[in-house]
Amino acid sequence: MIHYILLQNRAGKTRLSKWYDAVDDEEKEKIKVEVHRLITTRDPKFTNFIEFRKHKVIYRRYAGLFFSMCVDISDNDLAYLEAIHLFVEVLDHFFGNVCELDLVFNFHKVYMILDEMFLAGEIQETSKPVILQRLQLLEKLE
Amino acid sequence: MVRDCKTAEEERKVVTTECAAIRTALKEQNQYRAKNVAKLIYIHMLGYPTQFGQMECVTLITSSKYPEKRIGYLALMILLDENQEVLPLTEHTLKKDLDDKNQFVQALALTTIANIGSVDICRDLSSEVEKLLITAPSYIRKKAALAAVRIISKCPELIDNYIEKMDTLLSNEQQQRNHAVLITSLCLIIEIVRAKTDDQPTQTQDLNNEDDKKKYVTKRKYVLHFRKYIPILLKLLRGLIMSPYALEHDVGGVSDPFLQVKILRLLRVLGKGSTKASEAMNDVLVQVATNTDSPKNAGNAVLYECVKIIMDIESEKGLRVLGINQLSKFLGSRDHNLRYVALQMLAKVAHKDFHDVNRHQKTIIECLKDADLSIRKRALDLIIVLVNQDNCKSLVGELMTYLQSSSNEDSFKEQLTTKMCTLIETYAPDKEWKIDTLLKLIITSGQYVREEIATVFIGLITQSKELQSRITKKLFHTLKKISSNQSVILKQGVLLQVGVWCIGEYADLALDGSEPDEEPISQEQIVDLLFELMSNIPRESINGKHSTTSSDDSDSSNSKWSTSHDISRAFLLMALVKLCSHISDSNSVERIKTFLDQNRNVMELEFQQRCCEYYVLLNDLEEEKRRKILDRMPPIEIQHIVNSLANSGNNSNQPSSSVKSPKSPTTTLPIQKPKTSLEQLISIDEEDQPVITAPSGNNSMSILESFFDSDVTDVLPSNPISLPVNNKSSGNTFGEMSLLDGLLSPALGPVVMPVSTPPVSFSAPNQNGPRKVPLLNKNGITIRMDCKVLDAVNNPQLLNAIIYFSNSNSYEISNIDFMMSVPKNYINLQMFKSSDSKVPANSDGKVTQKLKLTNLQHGVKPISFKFKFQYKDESSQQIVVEEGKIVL
Repeated sequence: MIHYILLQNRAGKTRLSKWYDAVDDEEKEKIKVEVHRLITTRDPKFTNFIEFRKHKVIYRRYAGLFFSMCVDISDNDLAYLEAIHLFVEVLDHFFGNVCELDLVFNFHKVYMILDEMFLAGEIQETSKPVILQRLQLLEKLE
Repeated sequence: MVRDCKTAEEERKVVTTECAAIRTALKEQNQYRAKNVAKLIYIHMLGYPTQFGQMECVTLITSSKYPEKRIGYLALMILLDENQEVLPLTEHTLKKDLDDKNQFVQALALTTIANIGSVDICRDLSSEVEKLLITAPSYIRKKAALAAVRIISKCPELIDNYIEKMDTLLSNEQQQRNHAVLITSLCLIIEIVRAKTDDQPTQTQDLNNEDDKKKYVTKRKYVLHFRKYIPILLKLLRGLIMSPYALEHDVGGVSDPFLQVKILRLLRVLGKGSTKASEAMNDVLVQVATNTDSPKNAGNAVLYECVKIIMDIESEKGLRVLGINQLSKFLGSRDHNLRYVALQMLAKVAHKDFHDVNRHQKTIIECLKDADLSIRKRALDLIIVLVNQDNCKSLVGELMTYLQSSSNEDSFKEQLTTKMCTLIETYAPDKEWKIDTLLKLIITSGQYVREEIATVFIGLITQSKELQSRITKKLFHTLKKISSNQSVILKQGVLLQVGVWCIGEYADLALDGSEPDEEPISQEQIVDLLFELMSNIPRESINGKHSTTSSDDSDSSNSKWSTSHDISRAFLLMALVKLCSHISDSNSVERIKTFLDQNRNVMELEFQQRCCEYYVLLNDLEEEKRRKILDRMPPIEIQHIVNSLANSGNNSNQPSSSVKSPKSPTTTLPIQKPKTSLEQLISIDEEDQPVITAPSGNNSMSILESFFDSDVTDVLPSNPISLPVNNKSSGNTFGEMSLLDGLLSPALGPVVMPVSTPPVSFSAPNQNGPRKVPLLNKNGITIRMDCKVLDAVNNPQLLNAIIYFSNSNSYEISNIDFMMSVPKNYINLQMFKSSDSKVPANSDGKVTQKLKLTNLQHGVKPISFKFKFQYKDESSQQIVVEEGKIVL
């Protein structure tokens, strides 16, 4: 299962953090810093997986943003990598050519999208059209 | 709204002001509540504390307006976790919202339960979730299914409620159309059947615990229950593979890879351990493996999961071969991710399909050279699994080349070195290779080698006569190269110790057996080298500026370093003394003696004492005896060392372990012999002392014993073994002695301290900490007396002592009675009751007895006493009596 999802930029600013385990705030900050240091120092050609504490972090870089998911060691690395990509595609569609600022200004929407795709540390919806449709409905309710 | 927050991003200050503003705002007004909470979320994301806003979220979710409710729930999920105190307050609202007519509101409540539901909330709201799981539209149902995942992981006792729901789902084709419902339901089933046998790292595999066993049985029950749906799952899977292109679920040309992966995952859990179930899956798995052909990640994810299941369930041989081939395809790929998963998987299956995996050895070794640490780690893991006796030489050779060439991170090199040591230890085909390789390893990366290896290496050398000369020469040349470079020497502690030890022991062999193509080594060279090394190792930093030798007072502030340097210096000193018996060059011998003489009053206690003792050893002892003491060490049983290393953790007081402490186990080995012989020498004039028992299996003692037999009694009187008369240090010397005693007595059994020698007065030793006197060590029973003079100035006659009873046997001893008798004419004895009448099994000094001794003729006669120790052996029910006489 996914333990947490982080979205950080190159400078280490967190744009989104979602925790499916109970972690206290101090620990959260520590993890954010450590994960950031771990993944930003890696060469782009390297694997997208790195062991971190008891779990492993699956990460992928899109422009200046790092999307990382911390999952169990025994989980299918490739599938989660694909899930990250799906998430990014949905963001891209939703915001129309998404950029970091979109995520900054609409952070609450990003959380909403995340909640439509992942729940309790598992993938909830895998179909891009279904998610987008649902998001439009939710938008209308605002 | 968010624009307001943008300013907050800029500075902490702004955030603080903003927080204050929000705080007041929350107290006063209502209409901007949502906005304020949204700001809070943002501030929280930036990493600032926002606890004060938690109550606000709770208020907000009760709002009737959807946007407000939504922000409220959102904030709840971000600002809170399951452990927060305000969470129970939300339960009522959650319940209400689950029953709401608006499915968006229901969705919010479900999402909240799924993400941060606590045990209480999960238990209380489970029935609502169950209801939604059956009746609601798919949008709600998928959320309910995942909320259920959370519920059963928090409250496993509720599992049974959900079994039936899953049955309905799996037997109704209509319901299987919606992928999201399907995938979330599969998640739920996986959670249900995730038995103890699953490869979850958090779950232990041992079933010793009764509770675990019970859980395992119930989980097992669920696996059996869901096995009947294997055909349905297979059909679904086949449907996915064969399905034509569907925009809705297509990812990189593969139809819903996420769902495929989930199905495969569930099948893996269900098929594990069942031949029948595995057989049923065979065909479809072949189909998946052959039909999924995508250059993209999505396809590979499915293939990877497919290989995982093939390797995990009881697949046929053919299928496994297919799986391994798929992995080799991954391995050969240029995509790092694929190589990573392939290596990971291969390491898992290597023990079962050894030959198939071994075919890829070359590629795997290539991966060791990869720039990516993740890959290197995996490759290393795999190679470690692959090493056996046949390929040990070549594979370790590869690792060695790799170690030498790579510019790795220190942590990785350390791992690698440790693993290599283990491999060499375990699989080395012959001794010569083992020694050579270990030596190479020590030379290449001495700073990463653990100190135990030095002990093992020295042990090996003592056993291999034919190699001693060659290895010593090699070590000599290596040390010579680095001897002038202080920073290198300091890092290469293990190399230094091993090298110096060998030179000390085998210098004579290195001297005569020179081969034609080699430059012969002269005696002066050896002595020069050792002195150079000595001067390059900083001594322990001491307060007084009492430096009498030429060596520079380097500031070794780091305590860890200074201890290891002390050890190195001790090694060097030992080697120098040993050299005296191996070389004929009288100048060199003189030089060594002068050095010892000069150092007889340095401030380092350990060093000082050694110098004094060695000085006496070299100058005053008869030739014959000296030669015996300084003779070569007999072969050392490494097994014994290794074992005691393993046990050395906490029982360093017990007779079996021959190490001082786990940190510096190597110290005992080289210094033990001469040191102990001296101690015995000094202590030998007591006629009726307790029998000195050397622990069995320690061959290094044999010489000592024989030495002991010889008539030495006449040595002592003629031999004033005067410990340094310098007042300052003599006070410390005995403190030092007791420290050494801890080091030596385990190997020796009881050693009675020398006090009858006139120069050593009795009051001196007791100023620094208690002096430990072993009284008895027999049949696993050890008795030690710690004595201390409390007031050395006003009342030096009074000696306070505590007797510690230790029992290393597996049975307890009872009815203990410790009796003492003293010469009544000048000693008064006051004894207190012992703390217990039983000494429990495997206890170390738990039971104590206090006593006071007053020596009326203090300074004239030493304290002496006889003791009798009587106890009942609980295993044989016999009364045992031990006796002894001690002179302090």
